[in-house]
Amino acid sequence: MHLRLITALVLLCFVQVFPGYAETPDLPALTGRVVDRAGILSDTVETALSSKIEAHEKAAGDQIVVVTLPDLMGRSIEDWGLLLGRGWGIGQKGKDNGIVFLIAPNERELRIEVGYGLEGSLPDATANEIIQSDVIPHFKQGDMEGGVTAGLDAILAALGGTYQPPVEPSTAYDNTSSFIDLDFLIPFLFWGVSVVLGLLMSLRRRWDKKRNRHVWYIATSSGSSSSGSRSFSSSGSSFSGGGGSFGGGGASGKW
Amino acid sequence: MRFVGLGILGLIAVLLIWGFTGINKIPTHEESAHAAWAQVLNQYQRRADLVPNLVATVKGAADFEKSTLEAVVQARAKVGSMQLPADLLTNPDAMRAFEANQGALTSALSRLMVVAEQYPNLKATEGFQTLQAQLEGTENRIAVARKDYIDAVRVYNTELKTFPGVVWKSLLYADREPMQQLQVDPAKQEVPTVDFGTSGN
Repeated sequence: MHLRLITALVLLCFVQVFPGYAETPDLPALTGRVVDRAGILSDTVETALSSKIEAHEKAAGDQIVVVTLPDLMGRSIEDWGLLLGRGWGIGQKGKDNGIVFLIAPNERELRIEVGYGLEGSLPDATANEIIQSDVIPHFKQGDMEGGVTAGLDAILAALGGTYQPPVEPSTAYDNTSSFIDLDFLIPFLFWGVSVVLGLLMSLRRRWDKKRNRHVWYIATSSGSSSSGSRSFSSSGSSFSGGGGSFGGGGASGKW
Repeated sequence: MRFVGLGILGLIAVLLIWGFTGINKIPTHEESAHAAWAQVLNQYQRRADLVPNLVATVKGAADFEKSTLEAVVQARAKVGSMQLPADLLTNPDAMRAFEANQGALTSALSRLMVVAEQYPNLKATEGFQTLQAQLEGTENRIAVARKDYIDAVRVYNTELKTFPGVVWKSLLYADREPMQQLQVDPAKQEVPTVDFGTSGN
């Protein structure tokens, strides 16, 4: 009798909970920090990108994923950025510090989707600048790996506050005024150096802490882990989103 | 026989418990819909704040088609002077007026951007490129905020009309009305047509 009651209760719980998840479309699996569905990246580049992202993630906590899609299936790239970012929950819950760097080589479109929490350090104009002057010149020459790498480097630099657009202006820039002004550069240099130093120091601190916790991570990895917590693994194998959210910030481009 | 009786009793208990768990749902969903709406307003404001800068940049950099620019300025002024009534979300007329004004600014701005394609000098300035990126980002944020609001309102309105929410509405929340749903913006779907034959000035 109790059994029946409990069964009914459990069933009702499902009825209550289920509608919230009913409309999420199928997303590609989040297999790591680099999800190369379009197959444009070699293993070495993929590993290099992953380890760069991982280093930044350990230092600053921001979650970044690089995604390539073979087919946008009729949706806009903005849709995909939001869908993937929210669906995977890139970024930490509450901080929303996630970035999805999305490339659709067959549609020749790309997007940098920026989580709510990073819109300050990576504003739309900067994201656009990165796309136009760091990534697209490579893509136009067919150098996909170079473009993705340059884009990721620029994103990381922007998050660290040290981003400078490439000195050599792309063809879109034919303004005559000189781009580099020494007086303007000096505070940036100071700032950059201090940021890099700070980053290195915090990296070391994290690394030391991480070493002690390493055993614990392995010991509990087979047990249940709550989906909302930050569960950074030391290898890319069991990477998962932290529950961050997105509001449509970022920029898109075509080449 | 005893089992059946107990079963029915259990079922009633379960239904009661289930009903009670819904007691806070109407205000909870209402709050999330309001929060989603605040985000919509926030993003529209962000766009409105961009316009003066954009107009100044366009004016300064090129001998620009006057009518296009004026349309943007007027639409912006209309949006800025708009009074939002307190019952905006449940008042169809107020909502329609809001949508019409914002929609007018949307199409004026997208027209401006299409016309700007004809001015390579303007497009090359860094200021314009920055503003263009900001405007695109903001339009995208508006689209996202609208979609989130649409979803939140759907949940709220459904709760008002279905069991057990409908019971709680009649008992405790009789003053709650369904909120106005937004239309998916038709202006966003179509690229504005521009006649380049008649260049202003």
